[in-house]
Amino acid sequence: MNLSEEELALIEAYLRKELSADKMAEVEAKITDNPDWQEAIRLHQDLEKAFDYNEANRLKQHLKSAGIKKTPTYLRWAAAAVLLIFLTGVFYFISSTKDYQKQYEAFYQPYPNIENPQERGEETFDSAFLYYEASRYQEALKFLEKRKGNAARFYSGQCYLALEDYAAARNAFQSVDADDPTYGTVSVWYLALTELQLQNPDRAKELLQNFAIKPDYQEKAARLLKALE
Amino acid sequence: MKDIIQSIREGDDRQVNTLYRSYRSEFHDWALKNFTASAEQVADAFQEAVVIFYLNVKKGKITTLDSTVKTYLFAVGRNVLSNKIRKENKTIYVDPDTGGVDSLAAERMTDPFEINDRQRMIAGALRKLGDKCHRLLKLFYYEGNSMEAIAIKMAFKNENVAKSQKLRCLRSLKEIIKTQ
Repeated sequence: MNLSEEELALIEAYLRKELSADKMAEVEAKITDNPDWQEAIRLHQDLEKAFDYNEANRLKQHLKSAGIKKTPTYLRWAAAAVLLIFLTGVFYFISSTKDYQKQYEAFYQPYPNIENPQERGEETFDSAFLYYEASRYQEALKFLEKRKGNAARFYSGQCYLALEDYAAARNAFQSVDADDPTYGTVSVWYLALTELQLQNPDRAKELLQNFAIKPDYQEKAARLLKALE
Repeated sequence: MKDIIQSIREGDDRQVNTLYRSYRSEFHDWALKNFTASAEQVADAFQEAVVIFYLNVKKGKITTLDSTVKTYLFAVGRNVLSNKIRKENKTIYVDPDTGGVDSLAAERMTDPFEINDRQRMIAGALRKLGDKCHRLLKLFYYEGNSMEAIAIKMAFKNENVAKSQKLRCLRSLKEIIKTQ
């Protein structure tokens, strides 16, 4: 198979359906006529299947080992007793120090990139979101700081949260316009979580009670409020 | 439980454990009651069912559910177990209804465990490839990243460097296949 780098890129763009209708037809004609192109397609598909197969087996092995780890019953009871004593201690520690880390960890999940998903293969690709998706938050921030708008402010807040700079995250989320249809209410959710990390549970509760959270977050907000009561 | 689709799509791999733990016992009891199968066959089938469901969701082949996650898992598990019994025992088995299961939806799922000889050979070669090449090819062929995204994720100087590196990795892979 002797295809140029450009030809391979074209075949891959065809398989990912990233070409215009005309270009797709052009590639299809070439595939019909050229065995090298047919082989390139086959190799691409076989590589995808091979990776899926390896990943499936890796996950199956993981489940298998999770399912067969058995401990004698008496040891399990002993471990449970030790764990209970330990957890009781931890509970009293958490209660006495008013540490809201547990609730934060139970509810915090980084917000996915909805601005510029990688799968779309858009030409106007934004480096900020590439770094964001790669969890390279310091670098993402450098690009986000150059941008204006609610999306940039919201994702800056996300970066600061991931970097555990909660004061900066609070500033970023507070600067998002509350009536922004995409980022307005979801910023409130993350601001509430940020306030927990800043040991301000009352402010977090106030935010969760007074704002109309997006339907996706309603159930989570109710659970978090209950946990804070 | 429908949130699980979103979580898997967002890359939360812990969900595979959650799915497994949530329904393992129930599937085990149900399958042993309805099939002539060993406990090992049932456990194996359910592990595969969870993986099949999980990977189909992760790769965007399932985006919504017409029924509950449990119904899907039981339907896939039933199909996997039926095939296993057919292949391993070569006996007649009872094919019970899973109770409102959308078996067509289950059958439409891609089974990552079903591959041909050439794909199996490539899979073996991939496991022998160096870490860097394996990661690069996985980011491209498994996760569907663009070359620009790969350049950033793997700290290459630019997209062209990533493309050249990918070609080198494919050449290494072909060399391993030749020697297998």
